[in-house]
Amino acid sequence: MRGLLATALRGLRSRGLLTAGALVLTIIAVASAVLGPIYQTGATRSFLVEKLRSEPPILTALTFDYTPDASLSVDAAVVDADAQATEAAGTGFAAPHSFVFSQPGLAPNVGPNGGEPRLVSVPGACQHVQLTGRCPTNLNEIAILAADSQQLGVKIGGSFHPWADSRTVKVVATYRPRAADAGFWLLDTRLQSSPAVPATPINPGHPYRPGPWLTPQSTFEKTLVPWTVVADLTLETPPDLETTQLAAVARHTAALINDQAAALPLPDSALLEPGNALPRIAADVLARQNVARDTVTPAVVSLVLVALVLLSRLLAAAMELRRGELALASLRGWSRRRLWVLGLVEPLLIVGVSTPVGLVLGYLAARVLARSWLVPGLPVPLALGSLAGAALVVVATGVVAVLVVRDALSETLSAQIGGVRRPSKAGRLGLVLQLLMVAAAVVVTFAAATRGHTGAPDATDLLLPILLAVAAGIASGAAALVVADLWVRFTRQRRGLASYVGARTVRRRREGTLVIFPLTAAMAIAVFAAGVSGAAAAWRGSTAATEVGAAASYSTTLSMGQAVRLTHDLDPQGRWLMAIAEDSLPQVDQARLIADTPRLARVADWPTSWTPGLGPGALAQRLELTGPSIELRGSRLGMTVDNRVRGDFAQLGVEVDYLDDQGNTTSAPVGPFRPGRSTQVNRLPHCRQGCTLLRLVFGGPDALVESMNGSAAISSLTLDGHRVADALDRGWRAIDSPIGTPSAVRGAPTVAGGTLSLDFRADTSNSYGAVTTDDAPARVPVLWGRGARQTPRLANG
Amino acid sequence: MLFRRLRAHGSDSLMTLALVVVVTTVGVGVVGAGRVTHTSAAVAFVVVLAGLTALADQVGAEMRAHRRDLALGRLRGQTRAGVTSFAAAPLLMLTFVAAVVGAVLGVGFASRLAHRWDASYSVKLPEIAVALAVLVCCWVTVFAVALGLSRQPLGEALAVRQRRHGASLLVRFTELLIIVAAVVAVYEARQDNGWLAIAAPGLVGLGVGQVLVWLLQSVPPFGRRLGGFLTTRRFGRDALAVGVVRLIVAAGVVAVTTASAMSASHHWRDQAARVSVGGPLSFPVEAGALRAYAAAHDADPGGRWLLPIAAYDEQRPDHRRVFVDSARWQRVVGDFQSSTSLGDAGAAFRQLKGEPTVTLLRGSRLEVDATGVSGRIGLTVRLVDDANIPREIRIRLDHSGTTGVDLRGCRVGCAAVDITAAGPGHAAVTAVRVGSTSLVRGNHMLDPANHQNRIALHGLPREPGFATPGLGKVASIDGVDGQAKGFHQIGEIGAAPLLGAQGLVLDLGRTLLDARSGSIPVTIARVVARADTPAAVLDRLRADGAGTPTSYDAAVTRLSGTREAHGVEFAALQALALVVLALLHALAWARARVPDRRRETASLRIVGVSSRAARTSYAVESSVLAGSAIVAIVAVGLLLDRVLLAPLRLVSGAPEMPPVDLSTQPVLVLSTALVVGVLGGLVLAFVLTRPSAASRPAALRSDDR
Repeated sequence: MRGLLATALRGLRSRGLLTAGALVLTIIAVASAVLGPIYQTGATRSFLVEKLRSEPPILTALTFDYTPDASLSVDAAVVDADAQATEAAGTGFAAPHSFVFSQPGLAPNVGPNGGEPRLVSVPGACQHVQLTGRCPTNLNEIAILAADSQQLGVKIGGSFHPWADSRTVKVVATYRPRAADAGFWLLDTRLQSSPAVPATPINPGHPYRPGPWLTPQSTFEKTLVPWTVVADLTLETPPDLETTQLAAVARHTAALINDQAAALPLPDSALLEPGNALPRIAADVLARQNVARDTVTPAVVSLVLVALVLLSRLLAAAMELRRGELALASLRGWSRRRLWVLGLVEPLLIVGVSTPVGLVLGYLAARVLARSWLVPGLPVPLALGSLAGAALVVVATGVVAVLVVRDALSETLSAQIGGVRRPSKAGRLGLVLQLLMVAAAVVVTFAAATRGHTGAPDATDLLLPILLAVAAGIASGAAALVVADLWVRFTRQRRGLASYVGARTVRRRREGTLVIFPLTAAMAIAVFAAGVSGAAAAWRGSTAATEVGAAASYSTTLSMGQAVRLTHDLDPQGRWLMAIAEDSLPQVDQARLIADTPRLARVADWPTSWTPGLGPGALAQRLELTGPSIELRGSRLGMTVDNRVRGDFAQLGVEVDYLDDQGNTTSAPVGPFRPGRSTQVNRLPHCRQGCTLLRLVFGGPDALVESMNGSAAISSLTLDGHRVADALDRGWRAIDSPIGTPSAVRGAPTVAGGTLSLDFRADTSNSYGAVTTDDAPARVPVLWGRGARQTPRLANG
Repeated sequence: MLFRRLRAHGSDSLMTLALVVVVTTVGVGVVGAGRVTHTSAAVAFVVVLAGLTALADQVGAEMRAHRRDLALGRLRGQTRAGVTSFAAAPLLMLTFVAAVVGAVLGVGFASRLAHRWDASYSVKLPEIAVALAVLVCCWVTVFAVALGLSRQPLGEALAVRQRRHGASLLVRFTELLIIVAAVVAVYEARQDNGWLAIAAPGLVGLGVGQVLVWLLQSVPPFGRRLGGFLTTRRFGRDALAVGVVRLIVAAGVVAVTTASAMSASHHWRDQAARVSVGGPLSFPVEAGALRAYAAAHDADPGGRWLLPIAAYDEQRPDHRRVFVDSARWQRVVGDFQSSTSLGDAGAAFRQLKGEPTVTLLRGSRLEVDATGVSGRIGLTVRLVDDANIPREIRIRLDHSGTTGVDLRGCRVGCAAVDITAAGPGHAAVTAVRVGSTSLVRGNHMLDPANHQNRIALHGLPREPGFATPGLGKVASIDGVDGQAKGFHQIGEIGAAPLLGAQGLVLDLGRTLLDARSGSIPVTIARVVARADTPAAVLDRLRADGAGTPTSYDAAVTRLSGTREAHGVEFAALQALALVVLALLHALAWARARVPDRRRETASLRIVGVSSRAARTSYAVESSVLAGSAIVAIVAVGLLLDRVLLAPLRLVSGAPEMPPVDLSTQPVLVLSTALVVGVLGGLVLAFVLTRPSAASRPAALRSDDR
């Protein structure tokens, strides 16, 4: 046995290059089999943690509002609230972080028309804002949001009575929120000021809400302000977060949100604030994690496969060189068993040496990769899959070695001694296997190409790159044989000897062409990997653009009209700012984005992959409304109307709806107009800087809808005595009633010679008569998302 | 040359011609009609694939029959190219003519289909491309076969009996391709609806047929009787001997899945039509839910023929709601819905009916009876009139007794929404009447100064109702006026009438009682009528504002005109084309074997076996082939029917429609398989057993055909 080992070592040394190659390849195969599963597990885990950490904390955190018994002190209430919140939230959340907030209540002396101030006390508040002045530490001292100081009309050092009674607060500082402290305050709107929103029939509106006033705890204890404790529990995302843990936390949270489980210890005094989207986020992240893992699989498998194929080539080459050796041994009368052992010792030695090295290298590489690319602190355990992969590689190498040795031993002695191999036909099984691979590649490609939709990748998608690579390898091997065959025939009588002999060798040694196979496969897989990586990069860009929309995005509590007004004031040219709004439509249960589209191309970040073939410029053009709207700038609106309407009322009332200076929808009455031609001038509030005309509504004295028949003509529209430009020489159209009642305006309004003429016919009082300019078309252009359910009608407003 | 050839080998050529014509017609027709009606033309793919495999078999057999002519040409010194073109030219001509004829037929066929489905049709590039592709594929097949023959060794080509060969690389590859395609198609069919999934039945049929071919080939010769032994021996020896079953199995599998698909989609259409119509006749009512209710009660006070329904087809499942006049359901709808998932809803609806329901006010004068009036009280009755418009009727009460005002727009039936009082004074109202109908019962003290300013008209805070399964807990629901109110589920129901599989069902009368205004614009208001409703009642209903009725038949017609229904028709077409192809192929296959069989019978007669025994052996062979095909078809039908049907998009259903029932129907599977298998077996047996009469041993001497 020792002699055998010595022979084997000598043999290995004599074919140093082949041995080294085989060693390296085995090490690569084992190492990548070890590395693959470890890295895959690590990467998916890291994906989970990173994804959760990248979500805004408000979406993953739980916030409880705790209303204590009147008898409890602030400290006791905070302790009680923390205990209750911790108990209700269960595992998976960090320790609660509690704020003491005053309960909202109207304070008449806050701002010009009264407001709803809130006091907040939390340890460390002054350290987590940018403070100007000193930190409020004494009773009834407060720090206010810098943006509010003008609206409130107080400066640092001033004091005032916010409430109707004599309670006084003293402003000792102003503060500005800092982006770095978002984690402390959890919700960035907590430190925001919100202007008053007037009540409308749809929206109850709210008074002015200044940013919270930071104050010491004693203010709550000594001043009679009703207060509640708000406890935030952020989601803990340790690097070793398991998917099962996350799923359990998400389930518990879902139960809390739905308030289904009576078993949950959610006491009556603690109320969960809405806003947590953890169940949806968790489901989303877990699904994407599976997709990510599945997509990595081909790369892991292919590296091992390529290494194995190359290894088998090298082992076969080594065996070919050893055939003389085997022939000698069999001449010396060695038994078949000993011949097998002699043949197998060398490959087994290679496997034996390289397996531990490969294991160690693979594990180390996995650690290095995990440390440099993945979430810091991620545990890198040796996965069971890695060991199984390594074992599989070792077994596969062993099988290859056995096959190679069997081939060599099954040759006749004369062939072994002869040293020259005769060309042999490919085996039937090999042929069928190759054909099967090609057939599978053809079918799977066809399936992928003709698939109806692009959903989550299934098994065929994952197999496709491998199959294509293998088929390409087989095809190029076959092509090499065919070319060699043709070349042999061509050079048989004509050219020099060298090319003839070379081509003949290729043709006769079929297995030689197998080298092409792994090379082609490797290249195909590399191209695939590069493609996937490129697509992933594009996807990341696109997703980032989806989340932010442009280089930077600011959230605001302004209404859409106000936001548009603000951006147009700050940036009249439309070069840097664009207002967008998002809402959800309950009837169709989907989200909707409304943008100031003329600015889309210049301001927004719009990857072309979102609308292939339609760049942001072209898209903005299509979404843009057709013309400029009518601008009203002044304070007194005059209108001349020729009233020929007969109805329940003799007079005709007109109401002008417009977006005022602040961007709010406002309406002002004009008239009423008596029968015949008359001019009326009325006040137009809040239009110093320029309002946008929305529509004209017609009806009785107060433009209330009633039955009316006949026609009316508006022959002039003036503001402070000046004619309104571009108003009565453009297209107008009737508007459908917002509640689906019939339109009182018959036919299309006509404009001729600076006069807008309308025909009315309304028999009942449930009609609606209104016209608008043609800049807003009756059918507003809409861009549907790919997965959106398209409906012909959407609510406006 | 073509005509010469047709004269010489008329029947063989005709069959090839017919084969290519069928393939091109179906390919062009389906692609053309599919293009204009936006239906997937994937089914054409299988027909073309099957046609090409049949063509390869058939062309091969035909050319082999003339191999000695080719060999003679080669002996005379023709080049290989010459031999190949000599062999291929007539078939190329033939397939060209066939493709042209098929394309013309296909275009005609497509325009007929398009016309039937109300689409305008004109020839476009895809049809030409398909015809060209079929032609090119045919030519490639013919060339490949001809090239193979021209490469045959000369000695073999001249030999009387051909040596057996293993299958060529191309054939092996095709076989493997079909198997792999079948496997992948089944996988895809489980989760996708791409081309491969739609073509899955055909591919699986071809694949299973191929497996069956391999199985039959690997059966060792057995049997003590000569017939069985000869048959099994022949299977093993001749690679082409069993190839005919491949196409029969494919045709059978496609026929089985298509039959199941047609049955399932027909059943679904019946269900969907019944649910969406609601009853035998369904009248739309423009003026909203109250008008429908009032019209039905006006035209049919006894509740014997008319049933008002109001439905809200919202997108969110728990917002979809139907209000039916539940007391009338059993009598009016009866067992019209008993075959649908609504089933016996009448029994369930019995739990819904009951007081209080809305009081309909019909007349032209509103009167108020009041006692103890002191001071002055202004009574405001708000109501919804015939046109679904809210109205306010103001009545000034300044004396005890009856006070009346004119009432407009309440011919069919108004409903009161609210009665409020204002003013300095008090009164006791005992009745608010229109005609003999009173809105209030008992005494109602009105004293606006002391907050007694309202007469309550409304019902329960939570409406009882039924929900379809899977909606979860629904706590509130919008009424006909769009205002949310409480919902209390008292049971489950299989479907919501008019809306389909998802929704809530409540009582219309109660909901109208609770409405604070008229029904919102999206209301779908209908009056459902029995089929035997008297004309007078219907006339009254029309006069009360009902529109043109739709019926069950109209709904079925509408559902049959959808893209999915066209898809099922395409599938039927595909099945028919495949069966025709399979039979044609079986005929051609059997005919190509006739000379051999004749010789075999002659040889057997020399050794004393009767021609009857030989004939029996052929009959056994045919029945074994047909029987194995039937077994394979039934097995696939029973095991894979559901999987193969799933991606076919049998129905046009929005997700709210009832689900289509895809369960396997063994009787249908078995009978379809039997029909296809027996037809194929009969064709084979008919051709193979016939020539025995002419197989004299003397024929062997002349070695002629």
